Amino acid sequence: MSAANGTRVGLVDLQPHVPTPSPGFSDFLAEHDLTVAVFENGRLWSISHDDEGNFLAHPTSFEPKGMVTWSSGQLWVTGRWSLWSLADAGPSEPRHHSTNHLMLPQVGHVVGDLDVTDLVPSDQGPFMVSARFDVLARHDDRYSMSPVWVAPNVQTFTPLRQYFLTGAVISPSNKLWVTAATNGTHGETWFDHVQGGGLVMNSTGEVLLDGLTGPLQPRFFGENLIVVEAGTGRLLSIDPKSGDDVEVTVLTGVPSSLHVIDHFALVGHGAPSRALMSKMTGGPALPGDYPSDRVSLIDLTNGTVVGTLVFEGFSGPISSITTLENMRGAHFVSPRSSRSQNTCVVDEFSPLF
Amino acid sequence: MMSTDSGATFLEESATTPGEEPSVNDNLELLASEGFADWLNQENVSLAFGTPPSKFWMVGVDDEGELSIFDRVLDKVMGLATDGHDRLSVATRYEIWHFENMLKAGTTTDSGHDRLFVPRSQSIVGNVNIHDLGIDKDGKDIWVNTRFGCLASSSDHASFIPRWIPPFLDGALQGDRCHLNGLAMVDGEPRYVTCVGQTNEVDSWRDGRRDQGIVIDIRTNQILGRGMSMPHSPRFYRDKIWVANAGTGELGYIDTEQERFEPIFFGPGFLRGLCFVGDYAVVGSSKPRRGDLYSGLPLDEKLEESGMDAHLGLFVVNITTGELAHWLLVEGNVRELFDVCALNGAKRPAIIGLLGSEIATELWFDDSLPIPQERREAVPFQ
Repeated sequence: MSAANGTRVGLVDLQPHVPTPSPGFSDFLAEHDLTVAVFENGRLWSISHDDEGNFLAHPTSFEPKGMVTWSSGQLWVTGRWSLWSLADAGPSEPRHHSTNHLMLPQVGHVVGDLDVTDLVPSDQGPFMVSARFDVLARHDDRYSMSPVWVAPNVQTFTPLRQYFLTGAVISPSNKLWVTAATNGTHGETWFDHVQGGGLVMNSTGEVLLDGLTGPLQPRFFGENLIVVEAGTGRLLSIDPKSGDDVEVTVLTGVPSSLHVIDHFALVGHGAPSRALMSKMTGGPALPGDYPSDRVSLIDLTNGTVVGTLVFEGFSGPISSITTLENMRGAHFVSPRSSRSQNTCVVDEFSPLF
Repeated sequence: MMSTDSGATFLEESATTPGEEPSVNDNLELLASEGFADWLNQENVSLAFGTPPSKFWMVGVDDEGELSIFDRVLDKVMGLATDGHDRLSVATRYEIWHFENMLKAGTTTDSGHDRLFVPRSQSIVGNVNIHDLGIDKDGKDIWVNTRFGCLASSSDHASFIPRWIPPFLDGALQGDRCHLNGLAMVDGEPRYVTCVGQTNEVDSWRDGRRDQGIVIDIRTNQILGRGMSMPHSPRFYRDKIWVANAGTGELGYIDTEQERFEPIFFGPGFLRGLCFVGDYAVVGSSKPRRGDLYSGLPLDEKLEESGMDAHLGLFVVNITTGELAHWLLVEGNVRELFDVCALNGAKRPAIIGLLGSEIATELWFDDSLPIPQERREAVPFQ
């Protein structure tokens, strides 16, 4: 770039700011042999400590509002129209950014724009939660998706967002629980009913808890369901037998993602203007004139926020979080990168005859 | 929403028929011989091929019998394969793309296309030079990995699985040692391959480009044909192993008793890419360029003797007479063509590209709702 007088004013590096961990978040990383994967506005961040205890944060470009989960031994990532599996290729050679686990994209499934709001791990790859069609589905070799569960009242594959499914989880006893923004009876006017219209229900449509505003991405902690409400900032613990709920804590800003590991919840939350749904006002205001998106680490045994990871600057909504356990120093590779093109993992010889 | 009788539902979001993709002004022009469109019409076939670096073509005929050209941007199209019905696989620079036709026979899109190939998945295999590609009887891909000197299959947990290695190579190692480049499928199984030489040192095959080419039966590792110049694209058709002997510009077959190549046709170009339609072979032709891999071959002398220029395109050859029946030439700043694929029964195919919004908005579902019981039983939750 040149100024009017012809002097060069220099190049500006517009890389996103490196997220900043609080001491509590650093302690969490130090004490756990894992990498936290955070999907933030088109960037899939790998967050971890290296073997020497140094904080590592590396972004990889994907697409806005992606989802990420660990399922059947692979990392799965959605883009606007794709579902990618990334496999662990082991340490990077030559060693690069302290990478112990180079996660290479292997297969990209073209699923189309299903508006995936959550990924549910299973032994055979993840189920996609499609808000657009109110279904849980797998990827399919022939079609855009293969639905395995359809919300009650849904009769055809129509992009009505009758329920606006916002997440799902399968219990250890294989019971399905889903969160939805509405109860599915409002048709195309569902958007007018999200305030207090959200619910948690099981696979037969039996409502466990209603009156919620923007509940999303349910997870299990022990026997209880953990759900975060985008509309109120509340993190809830719900007894799946009785439907009784306990408020664990109230988060600032608008929660947009949830992951549970050990006795911790990792919650992504940010400013209301970047809300998952524009009617979500969230909890108390985030601190600062220009509140930053962040991940809060919450001890589920007492509701204490024990750490934060703050994304300063040009950050966006945190749509999904997962952890890669026993994998410190994972590094994600974008399908469109030269690294992806020029790195090969050769499997064992498997003779044809 | 438009329902077809194809057992699938197309969600019509943007009133799209293929054509939304950003255009690339590459100044390429296709020139066809008189009668080429009639031939496609008579044979009830259309052709698919790529011209790197970026173009993928589908050539058929419209309702008036005029040539219908459909093109999309794909990065360095190399090997192609079809299962003969609804699947089309395309090897590109570092990926293998699988496309599925969503239209049932007898149905068309609003713009009259009778095949609509939709991208369904891509396997990233790395930049390994996938010269040739097959789909086996189980629907699994098997392809020539020239860079590692092996036949390979894609995998969901690695870049590729080595499946067969020429007996004279030390293993599936990085580095092109024999220029393994072609694969013939027989009854849904990989069977014959072509190599430029039997050498085991990286790039040493280049020394044998004029006359060290071979055809191998991979079941027995027996060499069935020798003495060829950069043979490519072996195909098994009507009980013969056909080969494009690129370095001489000849199409022919292997006399397995004499272990030699029997030419039936000379075409002005580096012949590579081959498929068959009835009594005809469709063979691809690339342009050699002075000083590159394709020059210094017998083809140079043949072109000089005949006073012909090399062409990029397709030659349609009557295999009962060895005569050129038709041609389709690609004019412009491109010079390579790796493979050509016949889409039998398709008059006017189309393909959803990767750059436009249609890859996101073209949603196709199995029509079966409510979800069949067997699929419900297969899921692990209640």
